[in-house]
Amino acid sequence: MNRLIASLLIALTAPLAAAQSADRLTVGITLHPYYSFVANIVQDRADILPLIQAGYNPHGYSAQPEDIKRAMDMDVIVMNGIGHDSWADEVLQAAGRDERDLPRIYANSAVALMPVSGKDQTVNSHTFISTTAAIAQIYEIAKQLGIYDPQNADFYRANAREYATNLRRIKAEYMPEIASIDASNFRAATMHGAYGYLMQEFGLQITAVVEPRHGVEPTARQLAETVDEINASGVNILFAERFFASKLADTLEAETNVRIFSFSHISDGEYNADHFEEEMRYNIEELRAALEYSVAQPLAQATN
Amino acid sequence: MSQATTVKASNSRWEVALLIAGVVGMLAATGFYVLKYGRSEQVQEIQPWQVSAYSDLGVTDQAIYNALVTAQEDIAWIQYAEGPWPNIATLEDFLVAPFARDFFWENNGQLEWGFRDVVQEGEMQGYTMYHGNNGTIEGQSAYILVIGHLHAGNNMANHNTIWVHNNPQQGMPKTSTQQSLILEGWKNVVPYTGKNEMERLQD
Repeated sequence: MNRLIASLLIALTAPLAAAQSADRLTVGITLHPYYSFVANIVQDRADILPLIQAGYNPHGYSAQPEDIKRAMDMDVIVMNGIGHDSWADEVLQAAGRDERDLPRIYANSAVALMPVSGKDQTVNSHTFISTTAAIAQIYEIAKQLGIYDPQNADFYRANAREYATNLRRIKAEYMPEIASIDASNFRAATMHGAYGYLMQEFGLQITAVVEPRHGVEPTARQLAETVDEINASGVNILFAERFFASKLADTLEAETNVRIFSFSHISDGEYNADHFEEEMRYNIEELRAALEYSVAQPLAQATN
Repeated sequence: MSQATTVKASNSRWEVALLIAGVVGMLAATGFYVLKYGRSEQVQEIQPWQVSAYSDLGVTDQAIYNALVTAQEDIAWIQYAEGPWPNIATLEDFLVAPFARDFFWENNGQLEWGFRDVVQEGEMQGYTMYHGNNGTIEGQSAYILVIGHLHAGNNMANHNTIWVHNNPQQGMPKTSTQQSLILEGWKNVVPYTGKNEMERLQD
């Protein structure tokens, strides 16, 4: 009898559930930070579907057949659009989802871009590794989602503002401590040209980008050239990548006078709403530690 | 008795021609690829009264400018949610750069920010101006963010512009019209945005 009642209830409520599901927006995303941004904006009023599975690095990503299936289930997709997720275009094309069929929200549409440090005119596409440029993208995403889901537009706007304030609070937490550190001996290089926006919002600069090969172990010759480059640049700190090549970092530390710290590229690990905040907190803590280390370091003369 | 066939050495003319054709073909294909997908310099039409945020601004000016680009969104959203255009104290409370007095502010010249709101009751037009000057970094500019209201209180109709002046002590302008700002020596900053970059990549 109970089974019969349960079956009847399911049969009666199934169309309602289907209608509700049809009303809910399924928002696709290409990169980890966009998962966190969208999750905080839409909260429980839309579904989020990453285009690629967790655990893959979007740098040089090769599309998989499952990605095409996921692309078929999206109503709208949030993209970087300035070079960091160009692989997504191929997946969407393979899935037959052109812009008329699957609208794109280009998070960077209104973000003022900057070049990669030391690489003349090359656009830095890593706008998501910062607070200020991230907030500009969060606002853009919220505005655009409000267009595709107008009944929740005010909800999305309010959440975007609150999330932006939370991100600023994280930075503000560290500011008194960071502000008390004398940064005059801080000379930093990074092993990937991704961190210009992050450094800019702390009023700091990157002296050099020494990138043998991003995401791939360098050859012996490339490694030797990198050692020379670091020694010639006069830097005392090198920021490596958090989830890559600790052996390489150890070698560079042994062969040069720099101390290695690391930054998170925020494009690894599981997708979750707090991922961006956690990784940004890690980045700011590493920056604070590097600044503290630099205080007692003599300045080396740059020879290049 | 076996029959011997004598094979004459072939003339190498065809091989050389084929090799040349192959090399030319490869060069043409590479050239086509580079033209289509290669990075070219960003070309933006910059007028004499403008500067490019991407290629003309120094490090400090670029940092202040990028912060103002995000701040203008914050300002519009605060106004949308809470009513009046936020003054400097409100923006500091919300920790909005470049107004909040934090490490960014300290390392980017410790600017003195001022605020003017010209939106009177019944008026259909007006503007809100945020002005920063007296920076301590050598070579940095003075700055203004102008939020123009086509209809007072209707932030959906705003037209925002950001300007720099090579005199870091330059005071707040008396009006916000483009002509008067240009005559006073202010330069309109033209961003290179994600939209510009996407257009370049699609070309």
